[in-house]
Amino acid sequence: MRLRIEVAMLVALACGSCRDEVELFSGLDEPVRVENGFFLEGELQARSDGPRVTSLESPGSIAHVGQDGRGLRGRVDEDAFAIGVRFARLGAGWWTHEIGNLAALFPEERDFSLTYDIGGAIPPGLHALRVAAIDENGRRGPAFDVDLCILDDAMPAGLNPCDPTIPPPAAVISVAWNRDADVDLVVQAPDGKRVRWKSPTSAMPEDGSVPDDALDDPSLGRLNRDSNAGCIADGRNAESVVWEEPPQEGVWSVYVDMFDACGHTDVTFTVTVHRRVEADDGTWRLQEIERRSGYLVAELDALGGASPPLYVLSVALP
Amino acid sequence: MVVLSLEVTVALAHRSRATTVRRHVTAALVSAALCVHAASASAAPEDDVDVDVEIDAAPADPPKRAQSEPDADDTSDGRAYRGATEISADAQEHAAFEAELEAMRRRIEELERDAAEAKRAPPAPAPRPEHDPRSLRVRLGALDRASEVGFGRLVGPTEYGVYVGGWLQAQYLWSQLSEDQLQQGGRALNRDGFAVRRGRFRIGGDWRFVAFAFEMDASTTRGPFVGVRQAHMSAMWRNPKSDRPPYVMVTAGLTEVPFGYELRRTQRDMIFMERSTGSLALFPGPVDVGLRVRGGIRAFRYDVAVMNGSPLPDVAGVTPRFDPTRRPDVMGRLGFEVGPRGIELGGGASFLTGTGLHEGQDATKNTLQWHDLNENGTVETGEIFSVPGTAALPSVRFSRWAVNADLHLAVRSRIGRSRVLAEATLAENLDRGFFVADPFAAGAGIRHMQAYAAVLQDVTRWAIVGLRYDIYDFDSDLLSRRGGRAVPADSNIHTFSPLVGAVLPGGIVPGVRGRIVFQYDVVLDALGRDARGVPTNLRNDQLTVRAHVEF
Repeated sequence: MRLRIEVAMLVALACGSCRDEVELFSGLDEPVRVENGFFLEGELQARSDGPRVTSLESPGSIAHVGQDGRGLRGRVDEDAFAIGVRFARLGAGWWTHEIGNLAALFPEERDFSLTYDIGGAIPPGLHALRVAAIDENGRRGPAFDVDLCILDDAMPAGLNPCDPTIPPPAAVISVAWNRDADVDLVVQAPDGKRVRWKSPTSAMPEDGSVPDDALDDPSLGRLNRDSNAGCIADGRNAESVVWEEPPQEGVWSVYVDMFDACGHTDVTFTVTVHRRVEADDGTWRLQEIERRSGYLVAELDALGGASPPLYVLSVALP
Repeated sequence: MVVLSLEVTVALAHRSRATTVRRHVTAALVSAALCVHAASASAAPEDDVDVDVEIDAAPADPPKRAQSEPDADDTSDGRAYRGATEISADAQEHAAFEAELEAMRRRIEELERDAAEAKRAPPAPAPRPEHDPRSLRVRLGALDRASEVGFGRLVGPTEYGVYVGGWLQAQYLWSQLSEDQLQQGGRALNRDGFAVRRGRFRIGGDWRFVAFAFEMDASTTRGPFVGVRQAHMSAMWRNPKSDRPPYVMVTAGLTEVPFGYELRRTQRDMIFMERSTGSLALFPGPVDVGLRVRGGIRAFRYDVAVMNGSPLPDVAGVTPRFDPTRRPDVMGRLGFEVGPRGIELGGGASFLTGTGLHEGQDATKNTLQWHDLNENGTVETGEIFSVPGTAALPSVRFSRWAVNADLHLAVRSRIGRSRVLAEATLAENLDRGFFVADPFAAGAGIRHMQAYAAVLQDVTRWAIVGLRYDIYDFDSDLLSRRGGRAVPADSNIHTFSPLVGAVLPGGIVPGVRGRIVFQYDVVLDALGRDARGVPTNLRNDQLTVRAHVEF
């Protein structure tokens, strides 16, 4: 009798994989993350005889890398039990999310509503967000794809990543860094004007301010943001100076400055320079022409802009 | 001895009453006197005098036998009268006997006094036996016992049992970086000042098969701080020759990282103020939590470990964090130690492989930002921009590795002990102290090179001089990306560290030894920048005066 019990226990232990259990993944490295959803590895395999997604509403077709809180609503067949979401060709799995009650105005259908985030590692471009309904037995019905144009804030390129026929900016100088520190990009124009958080364009001021019409010049370099200003983390850790049209000809120098380390000991940064190029087929793209990495140490560099910024590189534009 | 004197007194009380009693008493007293004399003579002043044990047995029996004789005052049987007649007939013999007895009594009293004084005097310490390498035990002083069991300078296992020890390092630091200002964020830019760099208290235990150690640190480097620096337990198979390390010693807990030479040395024995720059960068602290196996067979030494991979920072006040990756780090050292004719020569090769983590970002909320586009200092229409919140960014694991070679040589001469140390390390993505390696941020693996060479010379027992040169290249590939342009490419930090010190050797002040050392660090690097922002040498030399005392 005792031997039987021991054998049974051994079998139970050995058969751990026989049990219904799933592994917990944070899903942080996925291109899409569904709030209050549960991540499962694998494909969102669809079957034609499964429950259908009957309606889908997305607030917009343009999204940004790292954007959070995007909504997705719709309806599914009455026999659906949950909804599955993933990018069609990106990621290692899919998210399951519960659905709501029967729709008041649409008989034999149920409403669903969820919120999702775009992951930080997703490549810019056009991607299909795939949605499928799931019944009580786990059968997934036909997939419903929504096209999303994903743009990257850290590399302003307009709509070019999604439509290569649309020209991107003529030039972009960017800096990105790895911690939530207040780091500033400083770009010095050939005429000596410094584009930085205090003076966010390359336009020269006259009588203490920049004329309004000067700001309309598309060849001006513009700083797109002051990332982590005042140590309020914005999740970007990147700044760019963007020229919509070819900039003033000459050598532009690039510096970085650690305004405030925000409690960190050091920062690793990378400066990139991109220039617009046109292909033979009439499409456009941004081509990287320079890349430099470096370090800023809090103990030596975080002086609130009191010390000269660190010189990184010089580049001839346009 | 007390027993003897009482019995002798009893015997003396009977001396005029019966000749037979006198004969027994005489025999007893002579016997006792001889025994006491022999015991006193054998107890040399430097020895532990133990006369009680030596003398109390011999004189005990004769008085007992005397008391067993018939009482001389008992007149009932007439034997007392016959005794008195014999005394009067032998008066001359009696007088001689009295004189002899009196002399013995005085002698006994002298011996009693000597014995009593010897008993009151503190016992002289037992002579320290010469070290016998065949013994499992090595007799070590209290200072020696505060060190590591079975390894390092004390190659043999210590005496068994629990011991306590510690050391204190108080210093004054002067730095060219100091300034009477506060940094952005409020941190003081001043570095000059007095500090307790390390205040260690260690309790340990060492037995034949097991040992443990627990060490606390109390310092004021960044404000008052108390924290654990060692906490480990070991099981071992000792070498029968006690001046050799154990064949196998398995240690679990917070213990030294077995990599290279400098990192494994206890900070108590380091003459230079701190480890070399590269060592401090690659290993923010010398200890980590894990499982370690080490030992030695003849000249061969091995030391391998599986550890978390997050060394406990040596700088007090720096908050350590738990290892963020699931995979542990594996490191070890294979080496040798030989000591022919007063020369100590050792060396080894080390390796490390592990993982690090590129840290993701927290999610953020929406904010508004003002861009003063026209630079007039006034908020105007079109100058307010939204900054939408972002989703959390994931962390990414990356691999790291390092290899190391070390060599050390020590020679004794009339001047004193001379030591030469050299060590070099190649590593990738391992900087965790200064320029924390993040290959995902840099876009490629970050390679490091660290090396140093040092000379230390004892000048008699009372002084020491030394010089160390170390170089740390925190990003070897930064040079290859220059492309003819001025970029922050020089990633080498050179440090020259001459030192001079006075030493208080052990034995001068019982239970204490120490030193006071002056060290000046000349640092050449590219961490500063000129008015154009171009990297240049930063004035960051520093002078340290440190008093070190061990107990």
